[in-house]
Amino acid sequence: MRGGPEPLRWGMFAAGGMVAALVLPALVLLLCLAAPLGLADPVPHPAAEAVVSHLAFRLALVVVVPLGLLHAAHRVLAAFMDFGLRPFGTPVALVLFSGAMAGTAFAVWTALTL
Amino acid sequence: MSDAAPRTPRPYVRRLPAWWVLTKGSWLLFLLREITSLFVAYVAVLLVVYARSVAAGPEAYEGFVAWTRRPGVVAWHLVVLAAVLWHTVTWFVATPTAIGRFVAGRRVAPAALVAGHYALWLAVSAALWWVLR
Repeated sequence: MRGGPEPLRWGMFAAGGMVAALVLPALVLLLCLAAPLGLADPVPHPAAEAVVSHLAFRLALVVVVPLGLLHAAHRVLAAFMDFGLRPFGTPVALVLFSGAMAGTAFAVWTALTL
Repeated sequence: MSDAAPRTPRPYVRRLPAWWVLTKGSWLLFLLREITSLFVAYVAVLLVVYARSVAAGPEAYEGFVAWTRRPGVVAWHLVVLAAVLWHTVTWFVATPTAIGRFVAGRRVAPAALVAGHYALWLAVSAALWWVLR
């Protein structure tokens, strides 16, 4: 690829940023806050299971989770560079993107075994 | 001309204190925007944890729900919500610069592009509420 993995990293960053912007506030509100804050009744287990075991949810999982993690890895790496830690760019990138890949594997494995 | 050895050019690096980002309000907002990515990663992992708890059966799911009800966890998730909302706002504000002024070959006003993204966001959020509730 021309210019190495840089264009791909930026592409994943942009795609992840857009997906995160669109779905994450609603997900945090729905899954973590709606019931504890009394905004809605808690979702009973059978209803939650019906959603989670649906093919659409599994597909969403393997899209949202990897893109979100790659978005974060790219942005944290860029922040490291801005804070004058450019000499450590390669090891930091290795750690960040290994983490993103581990999370991606976790999400894919989960989607396949739900 | 002197006979000094030719010097190889080096890129100019502006020297800044390590805390440069704290010296100006707009830079602090920039830092907060970048930090939202850590919260994005947290919610991504949490989504998998939630799915696994549901799949593991009613007991594991009740455990997850009970955990979200702990006061400290509620407070933490309010911080997470604020962070991902800040991500959404700053992301949409940047769209006219990132995507450009032309959509499908037509000139679009920057404000219209931002407004369009907010409309899409509301539609997606409503759809998620309808599906997950």
